[in-house]
Amino acid sequence: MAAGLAAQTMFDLGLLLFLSIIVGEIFERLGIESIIGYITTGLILGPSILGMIDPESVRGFATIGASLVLFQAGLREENAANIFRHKEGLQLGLGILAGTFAFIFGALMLFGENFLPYSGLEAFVFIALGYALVDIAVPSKIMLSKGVLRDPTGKYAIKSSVINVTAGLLLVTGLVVFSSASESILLNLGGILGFALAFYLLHEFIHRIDDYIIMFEESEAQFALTFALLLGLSYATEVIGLSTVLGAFFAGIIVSRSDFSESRAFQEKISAIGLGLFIPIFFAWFGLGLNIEVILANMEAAAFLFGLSTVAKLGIGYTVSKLHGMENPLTISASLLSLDIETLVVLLIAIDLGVLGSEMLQIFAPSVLLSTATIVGLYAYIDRRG
Amino acid sequence: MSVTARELMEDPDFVDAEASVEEVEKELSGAENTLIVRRNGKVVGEIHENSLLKAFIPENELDENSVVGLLGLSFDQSYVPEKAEDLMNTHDVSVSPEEELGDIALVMHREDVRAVPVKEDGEIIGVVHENAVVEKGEVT
Repeated sequence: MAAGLAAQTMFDLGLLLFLSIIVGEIFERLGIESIIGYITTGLILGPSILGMIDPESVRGFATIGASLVLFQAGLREENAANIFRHKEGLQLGLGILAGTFAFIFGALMLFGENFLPYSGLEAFVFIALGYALVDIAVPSKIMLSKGVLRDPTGKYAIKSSVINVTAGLLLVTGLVVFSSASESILLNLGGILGFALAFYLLHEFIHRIDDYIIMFEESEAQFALTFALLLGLSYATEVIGLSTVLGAFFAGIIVSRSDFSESRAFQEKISAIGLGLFIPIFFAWFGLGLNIEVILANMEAAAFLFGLSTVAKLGIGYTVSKLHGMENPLTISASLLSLDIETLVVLLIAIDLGVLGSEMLQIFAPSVLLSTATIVGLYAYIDRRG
Repeated sequence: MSVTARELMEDPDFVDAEASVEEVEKELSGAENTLIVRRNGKVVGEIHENSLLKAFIPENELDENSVVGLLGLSFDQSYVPEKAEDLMNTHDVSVSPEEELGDIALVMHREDVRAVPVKEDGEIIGVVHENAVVEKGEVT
């Protein structure tokens, strides 16, 4: 029985990975992000359409994939801190985060219950914060294809986006701590303080530990210990009532301070195991869990949230970049409309904490396609206008 | 007795973190291939000749994940450099003046660098270049 189950899991994983990479490649060649290809593959193979793969069979691998996404983000934390020195980018990035959050949160408090299956303040805060984040991958892809990423417009849009996402995820971290602490305050706070102390010690003394790790005879020791740290911190954050992906993010920050993290060999290994294996499975798993009937039934809620996010970001992005004297304010604001993995991470954390139900993923899914289509449409309009 | 870093090294070339990319290019166009980056007199990183390669890659050949990361949380500015600090590597690899040639070769191979700074009492006193190692080394 166990052997049969293992064989089925192998088959599911192999099929999911193979088809995700093929579909992702086709999407890339069409100018669409490969991530959308992975999600589409999962949707087609999942219970909603072909019913070939049960999402539960690959859940464990998908969890590691989600952790690796955040781990890689943490690895580049030093770089994000430098970008915060860019004054105009800081104003636009934080302006979009704060303005969009306030706009969506206000609308949710007034009309949220009419569109969404939630009514609590906490749920609305998580949703508003998630939809206030911007994704720069889709616009970057378009800007690279047009050769404008190295222009002031491209640099300004990217720096604003990095600041928006970094500040947003820091707020989410605070929100998670606050949300978990409200359940059994003393126990959770004790765990969180212990974790914070361990994080601080590792963060400050990784250089010393590093010297010993480099002396290991085992050639893959750096990689193996990094992975062990990633899994250990993910587990620790889950145990103390925070989300596993936050632990992975903290692990990335710690490892980014080590001397070996910038070596090409280390980065290639992390990238291969993440982008080549676990991360495609994570997005395909997300697709497996989608249900077309439920998505259609929640289309009104999806359109409501997408509309709020788009209107706020377009308005704030255009106004602030115009005030900064940028030449292409519409291009900049269009570049900051995308909803993608950053929002998904916030929603997954909220689901993990029990603040939102899993139906929120069905509500969010259409936003990825809607925002991509809106950006492509706006860029086409800008091109035609000259 | 094997040749040491002290015998192989040359004087270090320094550049300010705020220096323009044009200045970096000019410095690197000479024979040396490593610049030590300083801010307010303090060493903050180093630039190798190959650090500039990313800036020359045509945009349509770049992958957005390399430039902005998967989660859009970072911006690898070495693809779009404006100042020396955008190009520098902050994780320094260095050797002591008494390090022997074989060990220096190992560091260069492992870290994929063509020159390595020599550090004594926390100060960079020189740089060992790949060509010096090849010139003085003996294949046995």
